[in-house]
Amino acid sequence: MRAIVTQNLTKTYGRHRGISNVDLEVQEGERFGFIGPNGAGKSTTIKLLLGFLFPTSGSCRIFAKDCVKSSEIIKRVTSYVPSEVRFYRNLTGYQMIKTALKFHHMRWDAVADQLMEQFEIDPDKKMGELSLGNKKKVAIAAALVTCPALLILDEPTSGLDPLMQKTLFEVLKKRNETGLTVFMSSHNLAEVEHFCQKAAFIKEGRLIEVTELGRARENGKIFSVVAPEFDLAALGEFDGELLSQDNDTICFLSHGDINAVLKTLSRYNIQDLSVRDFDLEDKFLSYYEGGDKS
Amino acid sequence: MNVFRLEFRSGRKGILIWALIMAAVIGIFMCVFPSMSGEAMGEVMENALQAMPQEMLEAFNLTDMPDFSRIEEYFAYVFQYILLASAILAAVMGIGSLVREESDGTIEFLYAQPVTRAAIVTQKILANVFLFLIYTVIVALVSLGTVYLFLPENENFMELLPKLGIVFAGMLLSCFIFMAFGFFLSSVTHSHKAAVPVAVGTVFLTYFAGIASKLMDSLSVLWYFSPVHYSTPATLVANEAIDIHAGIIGGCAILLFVALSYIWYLNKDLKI
Repeated sequence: MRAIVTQNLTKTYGRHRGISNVDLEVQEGERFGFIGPNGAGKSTTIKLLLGFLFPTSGSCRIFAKDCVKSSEIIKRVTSYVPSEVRFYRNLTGYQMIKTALKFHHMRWDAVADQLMEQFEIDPDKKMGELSLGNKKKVAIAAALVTCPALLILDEPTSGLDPLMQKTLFEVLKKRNETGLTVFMSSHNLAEVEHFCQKAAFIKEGRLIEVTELGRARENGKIFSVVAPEFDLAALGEFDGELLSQDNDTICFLSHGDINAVLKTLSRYNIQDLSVRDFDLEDKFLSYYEGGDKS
Repeated sequence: MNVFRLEFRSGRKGILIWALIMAAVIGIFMCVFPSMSGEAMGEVMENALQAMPQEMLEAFNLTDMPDFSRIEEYFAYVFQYILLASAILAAVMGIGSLVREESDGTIEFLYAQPVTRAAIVTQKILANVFLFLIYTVIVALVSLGTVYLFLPENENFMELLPKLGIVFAGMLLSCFIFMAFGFFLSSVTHSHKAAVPVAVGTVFLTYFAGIASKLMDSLSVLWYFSPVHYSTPATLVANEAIDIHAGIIGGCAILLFVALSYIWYLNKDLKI
């Protein structure tokens, strides 16, 4: 079953662009990343999924239910962690989590205790007194405590220290093993690459690609070579793609056989050489700096 | 009723503060009653009122030359200021109710829960009505207490009760009109920062429209736009009843604004 489906999903704000004809599919049990620069339309898409906004055209469905008509039913099995947590200032972390449970007609249980412990939540401090990171921890616990089938996270690690980020992804992975679908938007490409199985790239309100992250390494290798006499025409011998040239340092992408590259390079006086995978960050930069796909 | 609980929790402290301040104002004013009810003071007041221009008498609801030696007439005069303040409170409560969740950002938690927009509106209206009833009960109890305390020997408290009761019923009618108007504004706007100025402005604008309606016959229709004038305490004490037209128009206005609040809130984009 598909957890999330959007078809031609469009939202415009008067003259301002929102998102345009976004077609997205997230399978049940998937860990899905949603990537894009500020203002690309990530939060707009999430808010349409959660019913905060109404689509201008197109449709979005969660677990086959329409996000506009069945918002309340969807939220019985969907939780959300906002990017900037602004919960009720006069409630404590404990009360926030308990309130989330009450909305789901659930009682405080061992899961709640475990989340309080895992995310080191101070039960007595009011939300208004908490730091950005501590607010985020309460929001994550309040979202997970109801044991949702789909968890939507907007910038989940903003404000969290590295240890807590590790805890978060451990908890999410464990929940994912028992069926939780995770849909997260993030600027942190390393965490998306590390955690997600699939990622969608959005640019200026349009979805430009959905990629399987396990295959990122098949996308080629980036060579950085310091070779004063290197002839750029030699890149043609192994279908290399020049990425940058700065004095004697040449940076290129190769999708072909690594031995063919090394064979060509061996003809020159190489002063330095480094090779790394073409990763999500490179892909991101190629989309958002270069304009089109690599 | 989780939304009700959240709304009640966030509003209860403010309501208690308002109620205590109003109780204190009533208490202070009523403490002055024994000195106002003396014969010498009565003459002074009568001369002073006769010297005042008609416009000013209308503005302060003194056209009927109240007899301040009678406790119910003195209380009615005092209570018109409580009525104005209560109308402002009701409007502030209404305006803040829905939109505060958006401007504070708490809607991101609230509407991520399994709750419909209609349930949010319903429970918020009920919570604010309940809070305002608590406020009214506190103000009413303090009012009745002080009237009882300073009751002249020749007056019967039980006979005064219906007159005072109709004053509080009138207050509820006027205040619920402002609260309903506030709900409507709250469903339309995206920020509650202007809630207090808009509430004060709405109450005073309609109040002055009511005064203008009394000063000029050609503007008499403006009376219908002043909910505060529907329940002028002095008139209610004198008539022992709410004007039937005011009751019908007020009831219709409440229903209309509440209906518009639902329609708008159910179809608006929630901005965060």
